Formats: sequence, C-alpha cells, structure tokens
Amino acid sequence: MILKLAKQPQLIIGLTFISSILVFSFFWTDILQVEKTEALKLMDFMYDDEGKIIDHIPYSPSEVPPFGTDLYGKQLFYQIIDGAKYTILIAFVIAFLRIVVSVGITLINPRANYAFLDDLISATLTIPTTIIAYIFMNTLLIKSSMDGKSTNELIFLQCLVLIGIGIPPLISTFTREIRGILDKDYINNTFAIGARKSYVYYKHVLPELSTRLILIFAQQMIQVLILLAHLGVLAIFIGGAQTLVLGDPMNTVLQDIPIAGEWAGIIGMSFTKLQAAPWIILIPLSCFAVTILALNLIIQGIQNSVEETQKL
Amino acid sequence: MNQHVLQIKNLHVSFNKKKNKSIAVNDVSLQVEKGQTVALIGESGSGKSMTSLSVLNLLPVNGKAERGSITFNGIDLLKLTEKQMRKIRGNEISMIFQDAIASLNPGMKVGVQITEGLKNHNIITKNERKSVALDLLDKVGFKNPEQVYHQYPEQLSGGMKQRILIAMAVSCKPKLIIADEPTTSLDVTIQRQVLDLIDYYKSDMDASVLLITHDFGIVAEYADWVYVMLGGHIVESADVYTIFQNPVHPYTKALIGSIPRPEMEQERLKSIQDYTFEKDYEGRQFAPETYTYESSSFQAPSSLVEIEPLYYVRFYDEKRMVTTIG
Repeated sequence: MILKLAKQPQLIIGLTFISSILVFSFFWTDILQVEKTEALKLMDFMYDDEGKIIDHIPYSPSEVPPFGTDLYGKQLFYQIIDGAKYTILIAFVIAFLRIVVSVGITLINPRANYAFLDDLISATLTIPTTIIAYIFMNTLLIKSSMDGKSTNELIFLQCLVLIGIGIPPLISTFTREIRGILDKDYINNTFAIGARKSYVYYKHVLPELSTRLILIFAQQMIQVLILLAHLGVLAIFIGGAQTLVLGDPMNTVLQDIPIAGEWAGIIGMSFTKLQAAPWIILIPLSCFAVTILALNLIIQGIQNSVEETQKL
Repeated sequence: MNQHVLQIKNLHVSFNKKKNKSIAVNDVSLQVEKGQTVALIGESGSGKSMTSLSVLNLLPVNGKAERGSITFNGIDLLKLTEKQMRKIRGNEISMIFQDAIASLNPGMKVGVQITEGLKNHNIITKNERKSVALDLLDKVGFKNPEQVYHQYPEQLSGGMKQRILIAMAVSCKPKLIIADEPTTSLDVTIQRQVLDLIDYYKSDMDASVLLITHDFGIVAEYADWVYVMLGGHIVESADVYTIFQNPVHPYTKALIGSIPRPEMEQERLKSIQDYTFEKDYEGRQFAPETYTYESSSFQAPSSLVEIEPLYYVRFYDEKRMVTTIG
C-alpha cells in the first residue's frame, strides 16, 4: 500500500510542501541566518538616510518585501514562517485526536445504535461549526480569564473543545465503516477460529480502515484549518490574547494581540483594517489556502491509489 | 452406547428486525456422534447455516438462540460466556465457510492467516509459526508450501483458497468440524478434492463432521446420517442408506428427485416445485404441507415421529390437525 501511495505525484507534492514548510518553520532562524527577536521586532516609523520619517506602519509588501508588516510593524513574512508550525501542528494534533477518540469510542461497541447521533448531526447541520465553536470558545475565554488559567491550560481546554465538536459526525462515519468491515466473511471466519475482539480489531479492522483513516485525517486537518481561520476572524485565538492599550492617555484603544503565533491570530487582530491594509489579511488567508490545497493534493493522491487498487 | 459429540435439542433461533420477529430455526434437534459425518441438507433459507452458526455462538447481531440446548462433549454451549466460548471456537469446534474467496482477508498473507487460530489459542510461539504453517500447507496438498506461505489470497485459485480454509479449520485439531457448504463456490472438478480432504482429516483425527449442504450427491457419498431441513424445521432424519432407498417425506423425495441423472432422458431438469406434495403417510399428514415457506402451514403444531427405529419424519400433531381441518 505504501509503495502504491508513493507512486502518486499529488500525494508527493502535497506531503513535500507540508513537510518543507514545517522544517522551514522550525529552523528558519538558522536557514535565513537571522535573530528571531530582531526579525519579529516592532517597527514604528521608516526613516530615510538622513533620519527623517518617510512613512509609518503598516508597511505594504512593496515597502517591506516580501509580505509587508502588520499593524504594529512586525514583518509578516517572519510571522507567517514562525506561525506555520503552530498552525499546522495544532490542526494536526486536533485532527489526530478527533480520529483516535472517535475510532476508540466506535470500537468499544461498533454494533451500538448511534441513530441519535445521526439525528443530532442532521439537526445541527444548518448551524455552521464556526458558530458552535465560537459559543464554546468564547465562554471558555471569559471563564479562563476570570479563573486566571495559564496559557497552556487554555490551549489544552481550547483543543478539547475543537476535538469535541468534531467527534459526533466522525463516530457516525466510523460506525458505518467498521460495521461494513465486521460484516465481511473473513471477520466471521477469524472469530470462528477463536480470535479475540482486540486481535480482530488490530489485525483485520484497523489495517483495512487505514487508508480511509488517512483520508479522513487529511479532511479533518482541512476542517480544523478552516475553523481556525474563521475563529481568527471572530477574534478567538488559540492560547488567548494579551490586551494592549494603544493611543494617547486621553484616547486609549484596546487591542487584542494573540499569544500563540498561529496564522488565525494574524487575521483576527487585523481584520478591522481590511480596507486600509488588505495584505495583512490576504497573506495569511492565502497561506491557509495553499496549505489546504496541499492537503487536498494528499487526499487526491490517496483516492487515486485506492481507485487503482480497486480496479485490480 | 454411542458417544454424542454434539447434541442439539429443541433449538429455536429468531431474528429481530425492528418490531418484527422472524423464526429461522424452529425446534431443531440433531446429534453428531464421534467419527460420524452428519449432513444437514435443505434449500437456501431453510435454516441450516443458522443452526451451524448457533453452535459457535456466531449468529448475526440481531439473531438469538432463544430456547433449547447445544451440548458439546457434555458442555451446554449456550450457557458459556464469550470468553469460554472463544476457547471452544477453532480449538474444539471449527468451521469451514462456503465462500472461500470472501472468507480470507485479501490484505493478509496466507501464511499469517493459516496460523491465526494457533496463535489465538497460544498453541504456538511466534518462532514456530512458519514451520507449523508450512506443515499445514503441505498436509492440505500444496506442492510448494514455502511459496504459498508468502502469497496473498488473490494469488490463489478458488480450490486453493478452500484448502487454505480447511488448513485453518484443522490447525488446532478440533473434535468437530462444521463444513458450511464447503464446495458451493467451487468448480465441480475441485469439489471432490475438498470433500476428500475433509473426510481424510475426519478419519485421521478421529473427529466428527457436520456437513451443511444442499447437494444430495455429496450427502450420498460422504454422510453417515442425514437431517433434512425445510423452513427452519427438521422434516426427516435417518441414516443415509435408508433415506436414499426409501424417502418418506415429500420434500426429501423432491430433493432426491432433483438430482440430475444423465442416464435418464428428460426434456429439462426437474426442480422441487415440479413434484406434487403428497398429503399423508399411513393416516398422518406431513408437516409442512407445502414447499412455500410463506405459508401458515409452517406455524401449525407438528412433531417428528419415529416411523421405524431411528427413522423420523415430521407430521402435524393429530389432535391439533382435527382442529385445523375443522
């Protein structure tokens, strides 16, 4: 199977992109020979050779290539590179845990009747997941600021919410898939020779489900990335935000700055300035889009491989 | 006294489909003695496979053995826990399924599958697996066991796959082999090889065989005792010679009559429906009175009557029949 997958160009392109961006994100300071604090420092004004102010923040991509700066003068390029690992890994962990928990719950009793789950899913289908996630995450943010929870605790609880809202539809999907496998004759034959359930699951069900699991995992990563982007627009950041007081003492402006450097945070804190500095929103959104494209290529590669196997 | 390896008494198996309940096996009693091959014969849907799956407690999820007992070497299998039943499956009683193509995992090498039973019953260690598998492959007639060990099921023919299933079934040296239509999906030229193999192991291991089939030709050649099933009931049972020489129940007669006979000139092969259903035998009315399963005649009270020593035929209960007719 792995050999067949390795022959899919889409899959190779997608995987190469994701892994390259991750490697670059972890080692960008070494690769680009820059200091992280220096690269991500706030810039206020732009001076000419004589020290005169010639421009002020935010700077467009033509002024500070390649991506310009955000509202506070931080270079977007470095933010994007540094934030890639958080964004992709958060999506990876959430998608992975959604799959693990859903498969685990399904395997406890694959014959259980989860009809109520289907009803629940169809009933909530018209409500966008972002709204459901927003309600939970916003409540969590308020509660945690009152309780004084640490950033790590908050990230943990936010991840639990993001994992939890994806589980019911996955249980429904896996119940159908696993039942389909358990109904196969060779499973009955394996039980007839005295095999334990755990053996059947480990040796027969999970290997048969593996391709589907990878496929659903990639789909879940896309869902999580989209959800993170949406939540960013609604100013819900993973890890919460620090509130900065900007402006003069007579006319203060409160601004939320995300603590974790993931892409959705960049979108969220600058969304109100979409007209004035569109690149601050469009560049991280494009990064989401390109990452999702890479994941879609991976999905396409897996599907092609499965279809080729079925044709044989 | 004969030694019963398997004794099924008054077994009732039903299926729940939403609010409906359908009876698949109705008051079935049969026994298999040591060293015997017992055939359970009937059309598709007569309840043969459900009877055999009840023995291993492997009924589909919505199926349930509601009443009766299944005793294997003195142990009531219906009273065992899942853990106790697992020790019996494969080790004491094994099953050969009819569809060899679907009964092997296409993604797992033959060598691994063949020793799954031994591994699950902790009979062999991981290091012994290969030598035991090669030995089993050799016993079921593979000339190149080493090559087959590393092959996937899709690389084997139907007959080879069925031999793999037999090797799996006999790997733990069970006392009873349930062969559920083991030749149905096979070419006629291969059928004999497979049945001979099962027969050889039965003799070699002094085991017993419960042979599920719809083919009276196979019954004639391999079975010692025959149970004929129709609509979840046993309608006739006797030793194989008696049934072939003098079948009594009209359904048994129709089944035997449906065997193709090349020596007889006939325009087309006869099916069961071509035979008229005789009504009675020595004043007793046969049960059921029709071949059509969707008939109330299957529900009317009936029982097996010993018409000759150890020769049983199903008739309607006389007293109740008076009521029914009236």
